[in-house]
Amino acid sequence: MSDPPEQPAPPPCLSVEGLEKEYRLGAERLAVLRGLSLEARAGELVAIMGPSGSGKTTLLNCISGIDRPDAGIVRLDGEAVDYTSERARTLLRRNRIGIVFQFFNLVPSLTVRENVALPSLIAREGPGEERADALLARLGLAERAGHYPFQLSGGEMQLASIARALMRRPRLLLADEPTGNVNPSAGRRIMATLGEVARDEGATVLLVTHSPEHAAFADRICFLKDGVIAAIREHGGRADEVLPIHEKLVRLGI
Amino acid sequence: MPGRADRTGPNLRLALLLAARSLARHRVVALATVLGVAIGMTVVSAVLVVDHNTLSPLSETGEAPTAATAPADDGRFVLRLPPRRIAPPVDAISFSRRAEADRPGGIRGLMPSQRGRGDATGRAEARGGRGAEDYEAMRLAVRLASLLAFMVGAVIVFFTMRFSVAARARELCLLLCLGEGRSGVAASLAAEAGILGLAGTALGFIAALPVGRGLLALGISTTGQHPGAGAGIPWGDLAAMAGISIAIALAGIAGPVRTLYRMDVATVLQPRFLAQDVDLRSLQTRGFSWLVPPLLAAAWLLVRPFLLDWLSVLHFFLFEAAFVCIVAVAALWWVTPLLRGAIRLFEAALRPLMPLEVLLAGRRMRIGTRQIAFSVTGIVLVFGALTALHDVTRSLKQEIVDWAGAALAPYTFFERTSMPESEGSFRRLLVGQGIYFFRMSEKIGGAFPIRLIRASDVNPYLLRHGRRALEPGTVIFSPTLAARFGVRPGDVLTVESGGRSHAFEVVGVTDDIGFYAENGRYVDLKSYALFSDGNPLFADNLETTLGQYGAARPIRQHPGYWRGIAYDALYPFYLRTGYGIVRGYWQRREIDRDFLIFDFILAMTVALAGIGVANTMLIQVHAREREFSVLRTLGMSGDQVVRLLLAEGAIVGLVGALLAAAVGNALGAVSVSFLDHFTLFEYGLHVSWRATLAISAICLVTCLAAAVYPAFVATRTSSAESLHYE
Repeated sequence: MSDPPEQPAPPPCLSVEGLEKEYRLGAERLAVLRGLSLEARAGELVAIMGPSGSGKTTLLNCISGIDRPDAGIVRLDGEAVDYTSERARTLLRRNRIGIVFQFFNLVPSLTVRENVALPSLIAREGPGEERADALLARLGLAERAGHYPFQLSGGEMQLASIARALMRRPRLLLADEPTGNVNPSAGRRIMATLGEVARDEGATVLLVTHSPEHAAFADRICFLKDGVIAAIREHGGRADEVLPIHEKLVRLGI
Repeated sequence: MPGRADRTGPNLRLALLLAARSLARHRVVALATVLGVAIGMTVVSAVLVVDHNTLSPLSETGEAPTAATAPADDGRFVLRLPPRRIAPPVDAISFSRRAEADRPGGIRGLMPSQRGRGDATGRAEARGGRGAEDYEAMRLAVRLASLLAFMVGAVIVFFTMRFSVAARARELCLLLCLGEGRSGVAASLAAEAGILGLAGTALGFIAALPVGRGLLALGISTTGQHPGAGAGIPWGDLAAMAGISIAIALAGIAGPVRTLYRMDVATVLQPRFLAQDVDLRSLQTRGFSWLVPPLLAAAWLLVRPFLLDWLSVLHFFLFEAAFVCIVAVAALWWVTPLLRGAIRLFEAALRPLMPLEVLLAGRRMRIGTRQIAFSVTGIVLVFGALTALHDVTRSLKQEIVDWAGAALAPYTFFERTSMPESEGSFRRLLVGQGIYFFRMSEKIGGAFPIRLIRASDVNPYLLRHGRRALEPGTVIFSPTLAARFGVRPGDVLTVESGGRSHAFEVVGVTDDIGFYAENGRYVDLKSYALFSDGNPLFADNLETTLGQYGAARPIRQHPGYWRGIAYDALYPFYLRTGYGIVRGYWQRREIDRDFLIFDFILAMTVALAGIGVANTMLIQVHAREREFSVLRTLGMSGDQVVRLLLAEGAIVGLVGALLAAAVGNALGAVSVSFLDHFTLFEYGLHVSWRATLAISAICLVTCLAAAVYPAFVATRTSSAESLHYE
């Protein structure tokens, strides 16, 4: 009996090809991304690690359309991002991408529920409170739904931010150091929740982090150095295996 | 197929939600802004209502006396005045000017004036409608003063909108990250501006109607004349002003939104301590040019009634506005160095007493000098106008005081009740009582008012004071009438009547003889040409009434009670009709009433200035929440925070008061000079340093009071909340 034919690999959810971005500081030019290429499969949690100033946040900003790269292509589900159209970039962030910030960026005058439901309002889909409450319950914040952000702990604010990012079932979730501003215990909880909920919601997660302990939750870890992906490690989401990540970082001099 | 989720236009629901939440979060600032708009709207709308119901000053008043002679019940002979139609028929009057060299010329000659041109012989030409322009000038001044209040309200709105955008920059950029379109973000700000503008405008509109009617009920008008009986509402003008008010609120966000769109979203979303605060701070100071078009529209609306009929005075006000702008720009150039100087002075003076407050306040104010300059500018604008108005009203009142001192105070006025037995016995009576008694005729009004006076009565007085006697062939003018025709002593007046010419030399221009206390408009009462008896022109007409009226004054100074005794001796020939000193008092009271409308406008504007300063300080307190929280966390007491903010308020008040005194007195000098040149009256600038000091004190107290509530808010800032949430 012959082996069943190999199933072709599913197309990547996210594909970044040759991304370049530089900044001008007066007369000087600072190249941040120098032809970076990257792929992420559907449902995968990919961590990006790199030293400060290596371009991690710039990469996320370019993928989400907040910033425009100087060169390169970003495709989401095979469709290239149109950087020439403000409208296209807006709709990209509205319908297909969710963003989690390091410093939460919750609207201080809205309750937690309203913050989570904000994307629904933006998309003119109505208040969206039912979905917001469901997400908050999933993340263990049901009792905090009516509170204001200043009444929450840092970890709780970040979970609320994650709930907001997942509100409209995005294809891609971008998280910029989501654990950078919380204690280690809260950070582990956030990472565990992020991966689990994202997968359940069908989102691919691209995560930027400094912390090897938190990167260990990822399926794949990309090491960013000198504006390109210097190395990739298939980690398989083994959160207990942190040492190999440390070793990799040392070898790469990051 | 694109659905609702793909629309990137304004999202009204989201806009209203975010706007409402933002306003609720900063309730007091929102309320202060609404109040600022409301007060500005109330003032300008109330003035429009009052002006709409103000009678034209050109309407004729007074009745012609009837001719009748009949014995009274007690047997006294009563002569009633004949009607005016028997006044000498004057076909024309002309002047031969004695000297041209010192007539008004140069810059003053370029300025519009109601006074007669002094550059021609021939037919005299009185300008204007017997002082009508005086009243129109007041109307225009009242309207422009209300525009000042409106402008202060507009600046309050503008600055608040700036704060709103700057404070919500991160929130707005976050919306962009979440997929909201730029127009949706703008809609959120527009909704907030629209809510504030609408609420304030509606409140002002509603308040303006009872306020306007109340002012009318108090007898206040925009010309100083009694208002009409009706209470019509200029709905068109009010609606236009309401539209402009709302437009100002919306224009307040135009500039900052434009700047916001150009900002780097990713940078704005950085943590506060990493973000480029300078960019955010600049949102509060840019885009004030957007305020210019709606303010110009408001100015046009207020000035429009005068555009066709009254260009000359309008030209002057534009000239004065240009002058004010130049002075203001020059003064404002000094704001920053003055502020820095004041800060250094404050630091040097108070460092030994409150070193912490001095360090923090001084450093803060040095860094934020530009922002503080805006507060100072508003203060200078308002209190400078207050100073200028005080100068103007003081000079107006001084004119009355001076005139009353010459024409009224020395006199007691009489009306004849019976003829003296003989001229000789009457004269002996006068000499015995030690009084001058000037017997006069009825006054004939019109473009050239005439009164006769008995030469034998007035000449002893004139000669005693070293002046030329009044004789047939001579005339004495009151200063008001002389100004109207540009006449000076030495000029020759020629009256053509019935085909004959009668020449009269002008031997004096004076207020101290010839006035009789009767009712009428101020400018008309003060206008007359005094002729002596014995002129053929007046025989068989005006001379028949000579002696009907009398004005007595003592030959020497005596105590008041003496006058009563002396004047009672004139009975039964003459009956006292009034005391000049009392008349002068009522004239001053009347001018006080006439200027009540300015008092109303300026009081509202001072209130607006207080709200503006308080609002600005409150905005700063909100923006500095984290700073105060950190200070409190480090152990700073509430009292120290209060002293910090009061110090900042005091410096703003001090610098503002100083500049306001300079700008205000300069503006006052220009205004008084205009009034002196343009009107028929003689005005001089009387700077009262006491008043200037008082206004400066009011300015300082206003700024300190305005700092109290923000200081209270700063002490109540929750460190836990402010420091916890990044």
